[in-house]
Amino acid sequence: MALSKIDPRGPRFGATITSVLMLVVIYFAMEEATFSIAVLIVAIVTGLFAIGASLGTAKHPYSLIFKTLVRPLLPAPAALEDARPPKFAQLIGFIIASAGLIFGLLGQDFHVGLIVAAIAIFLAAFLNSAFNYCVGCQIWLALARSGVIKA
Amino acid sequence: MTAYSWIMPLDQRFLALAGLVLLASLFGLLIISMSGKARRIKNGEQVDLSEIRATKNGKPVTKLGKDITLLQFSSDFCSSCKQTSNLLESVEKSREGLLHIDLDISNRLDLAKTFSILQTPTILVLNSRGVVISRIVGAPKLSTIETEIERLVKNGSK
Repeated sequence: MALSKIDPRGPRFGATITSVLMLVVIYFAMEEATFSIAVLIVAIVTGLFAIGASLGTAKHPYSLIFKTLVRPLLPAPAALEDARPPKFAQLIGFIIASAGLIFGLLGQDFHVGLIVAAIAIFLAAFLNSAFNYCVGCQIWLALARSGVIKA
Repeated sequence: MTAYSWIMPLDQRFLALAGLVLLASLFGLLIISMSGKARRIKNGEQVDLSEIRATKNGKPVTKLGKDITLLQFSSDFCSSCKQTSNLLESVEKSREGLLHIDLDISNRLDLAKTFSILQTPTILVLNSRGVVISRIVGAPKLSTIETEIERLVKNGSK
């Protein structure tokens, strides 16, 4: 299997957008008048995670924005990175976002569920974006060790 | 209106978001401060390269480095493992008697169990007899590795 390589700053750029969106979601989900907007944003983000998890982050819309608008402004990357870890992280994101979306669709009585999911995604995206720390990568090892997923 | 008693006033919502960002930042700083630091190991654990079936460039390795062995554990889903591997390779090239081994635990979860690897990269610094001297969890800086080498060489010459 040929290993695909990506510019590591691409996923970080995407994570920055995701973390800002999650703050917006949390803000809107705390108010009944704007609750439906929060659900709508989570629905979009869930769809984006689905793209990233199935096609890889290189095909992700954020990545396309990064490639056309941001990367030309940056110097060449110090090193390329394996494309699989961010793809796996997208899968984790998709699962959590889906859970949040279900809570959102169940209605405002379940706003806490939506907010908790949004906080979880925010934390992971923020740690990636600001500290280059990949939560999904640590989760992978924990899952593999416990035998939940096959290496 | 009482049906929506959970609604927070505007300023409280901003406060909640600010608190969340602050908390996440503190958590991130905590992770950064702990990552890549060397921790002394004194339990005398000894590593036998042939026992753990170590390989380098696809070939089995049984002999430790003359002075130091840097035993790195990596995994597929690890963004900083490759960087760390490159760094340690360059250290190996510039320093005689130092061996760097990078083991991918993705297909060797037994190693993760044996050495209690919870995070990759994890690096075990071994002395000439294979005794674990220190453990580094997370991507280390070059200076951290140099400090470990210096410490080992100093103690070894005694």
